[in-house]
Amino acid sequence: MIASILNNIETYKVDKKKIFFLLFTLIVFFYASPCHSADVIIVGDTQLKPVNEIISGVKEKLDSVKILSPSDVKGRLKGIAAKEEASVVIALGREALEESLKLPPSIAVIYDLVITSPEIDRPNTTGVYMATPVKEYVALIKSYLPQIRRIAVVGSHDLMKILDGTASPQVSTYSVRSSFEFVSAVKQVDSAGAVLLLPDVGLLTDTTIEEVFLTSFRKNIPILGISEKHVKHGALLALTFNTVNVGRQLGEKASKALKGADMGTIPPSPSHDFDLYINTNTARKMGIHIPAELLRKAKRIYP
Amino acid sequence: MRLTFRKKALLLIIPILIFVSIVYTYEAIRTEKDISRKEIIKRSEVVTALASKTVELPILSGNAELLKKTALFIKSSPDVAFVSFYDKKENLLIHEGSPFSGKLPLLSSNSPLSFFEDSDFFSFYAPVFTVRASEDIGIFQEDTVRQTTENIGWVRVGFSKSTMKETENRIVLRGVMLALIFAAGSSVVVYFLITIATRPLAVLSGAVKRIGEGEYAEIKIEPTGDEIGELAMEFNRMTVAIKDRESRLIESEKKIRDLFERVDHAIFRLDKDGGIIGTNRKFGELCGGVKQFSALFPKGKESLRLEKAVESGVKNSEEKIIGADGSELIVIMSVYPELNEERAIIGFDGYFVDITEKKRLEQTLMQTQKLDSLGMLAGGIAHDFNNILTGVLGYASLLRSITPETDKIYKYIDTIEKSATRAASLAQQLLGFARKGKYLMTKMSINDLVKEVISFVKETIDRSITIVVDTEENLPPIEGDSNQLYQAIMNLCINARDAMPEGGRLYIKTEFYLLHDEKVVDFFQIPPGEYIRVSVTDTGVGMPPEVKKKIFEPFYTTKGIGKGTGLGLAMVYGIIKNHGGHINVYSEPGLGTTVRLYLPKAEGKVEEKRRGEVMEEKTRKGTILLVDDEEVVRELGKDILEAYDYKVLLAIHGNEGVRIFNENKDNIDLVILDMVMPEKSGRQVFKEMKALKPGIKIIICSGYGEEHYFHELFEEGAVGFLQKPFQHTELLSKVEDAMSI
Repeated sequence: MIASILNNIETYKVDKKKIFFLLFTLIVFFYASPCHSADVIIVGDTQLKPVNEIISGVKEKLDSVKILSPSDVKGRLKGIAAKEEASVVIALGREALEESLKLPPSIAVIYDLVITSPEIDRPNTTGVYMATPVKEYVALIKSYLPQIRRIAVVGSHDLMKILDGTASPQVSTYSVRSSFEFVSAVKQVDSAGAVLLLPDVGLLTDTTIEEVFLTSFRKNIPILGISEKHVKHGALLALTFNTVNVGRQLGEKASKALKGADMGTIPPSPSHDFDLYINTNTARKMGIHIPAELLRKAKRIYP
Repeated sequence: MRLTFRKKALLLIIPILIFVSIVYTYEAIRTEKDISRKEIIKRSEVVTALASKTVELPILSGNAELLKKTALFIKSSPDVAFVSFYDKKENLLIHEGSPFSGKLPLLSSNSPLSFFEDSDFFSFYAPVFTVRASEDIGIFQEDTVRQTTENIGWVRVGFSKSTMKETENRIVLRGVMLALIFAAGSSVVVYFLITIATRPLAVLSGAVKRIGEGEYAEIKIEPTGDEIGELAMEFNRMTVAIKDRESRLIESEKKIRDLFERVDHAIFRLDKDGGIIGTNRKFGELCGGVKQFSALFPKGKESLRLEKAVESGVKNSEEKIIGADGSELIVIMSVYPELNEERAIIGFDGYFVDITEKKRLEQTLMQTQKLDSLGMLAGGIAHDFNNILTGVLGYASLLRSITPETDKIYKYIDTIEKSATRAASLAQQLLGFARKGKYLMTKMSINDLVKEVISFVKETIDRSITIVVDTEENLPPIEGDSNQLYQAIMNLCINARDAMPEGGRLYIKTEFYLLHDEKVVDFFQIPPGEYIRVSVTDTGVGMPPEVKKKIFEPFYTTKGIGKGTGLGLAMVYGIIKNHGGHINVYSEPGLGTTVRLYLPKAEGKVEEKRRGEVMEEKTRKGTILLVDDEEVVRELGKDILEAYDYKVLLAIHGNEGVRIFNENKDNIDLVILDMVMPEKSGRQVFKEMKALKPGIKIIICSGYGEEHYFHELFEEGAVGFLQKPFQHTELLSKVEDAMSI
């Protein structure tokens, strides 16, 4: 493991403080944990920062976890789980989830790092998804940006349904099936005060995003993005899930599973906490006043 | 046609300019075409790359309207002839623009851009990609999630070459025009530049030409500071230097020419055939205006000189040439060949040094020395002869005086005395030639002497000879022995008479002559000054040069045997030289002879003549000391003097004479002292005796004539001079004269 970490250090040139912290955590974890099997296995790509943040949140709730990468467990997670006598597997990402779904039902599977909860038949399975519910945006706009009276939500039909895009009267929905429809829909929005993009990997290509932003600035309609990246590129603001909190949510669910709870009874849920990112430059260009209180809530303000 | 430097430069430079222009234009056109092509290709690449990005969304959507709109948008770019979109299976989605029937080439999505070209189009193919995140988190995070690039189709953009061709044609046209303009313009500029640049050269050329004509004009060129200006400045410096040098050369040549003209050598230059092409003044004076070198030499010898000169030059060769007046000149000749670079003779140069006069002087000097030597010989002989004759003549005269005329031997004794007298006369003439025997020096009038001679000559000369005497009045006196000078002039008159056996004219002239000509002085070998000249001229037979050379030699005579002794002119020569004078003879065979005597003028007045004084009876008592190394003379003197009651003491040499005189000085009344003795000379004995007894009377005696120092002895108290040989009467006369003082 240490070798692997060192490898990662050399390969990705991670910040030294973080490396030190990580090493320290791993060493503590390694010595603090009993040498025998782990109850919880976390499968995730630790090269991704969100994965590590989530793991850190999980560890706040669990003592004994074993972390494995998707490539390590590909095709043999079942054996590993048996060997480890794990009763809970936390799958971070679609690849990890697909591997985890092959586990016997006795092993609880808790997933994350998926946009929305997929349709899963497997029992004893639950998860936390990344997409921010439309109502979170509506509540934020309503509270701090009253000049935006109407929000156009553009996304696929399924996602619209999952994220409850139609729950508020302030919201107009535009259900699209392709990137072209996605761009066309944004171009057709005239009366809305803002356009909320729903996170759809199939629709939101870089070209699509560029077209959407171009249209946004042409029509002076701010984009409510789904990620810090969108805010950085010109979206007015974005609400994104808090990875550490998500990790805690996962830890809590895993604890319940360890105590014998059936995860199949706990429905998938979004994150409980969201981070706010604001682009004041975009706000200024579009004549939108950002109240100071809102700015204080922001995790980061661009530019 | 004469090609000037300017034409040559133009003929060289203009083709170079045209060539450079063509090459540069060709290269420029090629480069510009290449640049134009590359620009078009680059622009096409950019357009295609942009198109590949632009078309991502239309291809993803598959919307025909959007595809068409995008294709038209891309086609609206300049030079885009057509646009085609393909899906990832290379199925044509849409084609806009010019028909294009070409099949799709084998495409690879790994190559971002593919380029194909035909005669009318550039075709660019680019894959169209879309990027997707491999995990859902990728939609939120941009920097950590792995991205998946997916080839979703192809775009083909065709660009027409027409614009490029138009551009190329325009480039070619412009290049050719520029080349023509540049070639023409640069040729004109070069023409003017070369004209400007060569103008100073033309000025320089003109200046050089003027210098060649002897005009040293300064070049007036604006000071440009360039090489031409520097050349002009250097040229002007050179002109000044040449002018200065030529001035110095002219001055030097003038000096050399002056020297050439002044030099006493006759300098000449000849062409290779001996033609005279240059001479100096002296040559003209010496040789006249002769044109051919060979004409200077006697016939038959003219070619030899140049032949010698051709071989190695002639150096200091003594030659005889024909002078300007036709006379023969003796010259020292040097002739040197003048050679060119190939060592071929192109002429001669040389000079003559006229030594005719020098030769004459040399001959005269030689003659003089010869005569001097003969004079010395003759003097010595005469001296000894006189000593011998003294005994013969003295005793004969003594014997005759005591022998009665009736005695049979009286006649014999008289014959002996006469013969001895003749011999003494002969010895006297020899002494005259030897410049001896002058012992009665007086200041006399030459005119009186001439008249005396003429009065005697008139009585003896034939009536067929006319005597003309031309004497200059008031001539200053001369100092000399009147007897000798009388004899000299008489001899000349007698010779003149003998030269005119058929009669003629004897012309005697006296005149004052101022000798100052250096040449004459050198020739006469007497100092410059005032002289009395006596000329004796006859119109007789004259003398050829060979005779003239020898006339002063003793015993040389042209008269028949028994008619002359050959001592006449020798004696004249000796007498005149002994008087510090000169004798000159000019004679032309058949015309006559002139002999000129030059005698130095004397200061003071004419003295009373002493010659021919009559001996009177004197007292015959006293003691006489006779000092002579000749025993015969001592014995003769003793016998004569004792016969006339004188007491005689004898001394055989000077020392004995002084001793005897010292012992008997109170008794000795007279001393007869020989001047020429061994051990102690008579002059020394004279001085010692005078020192012992200043009032002693001394008669000096000599077989030679009077010497120059005799004057000194006479001034110191000598009372007479006795010439050997003497008759007893002469001895007694001298003794009695002395005793009577």
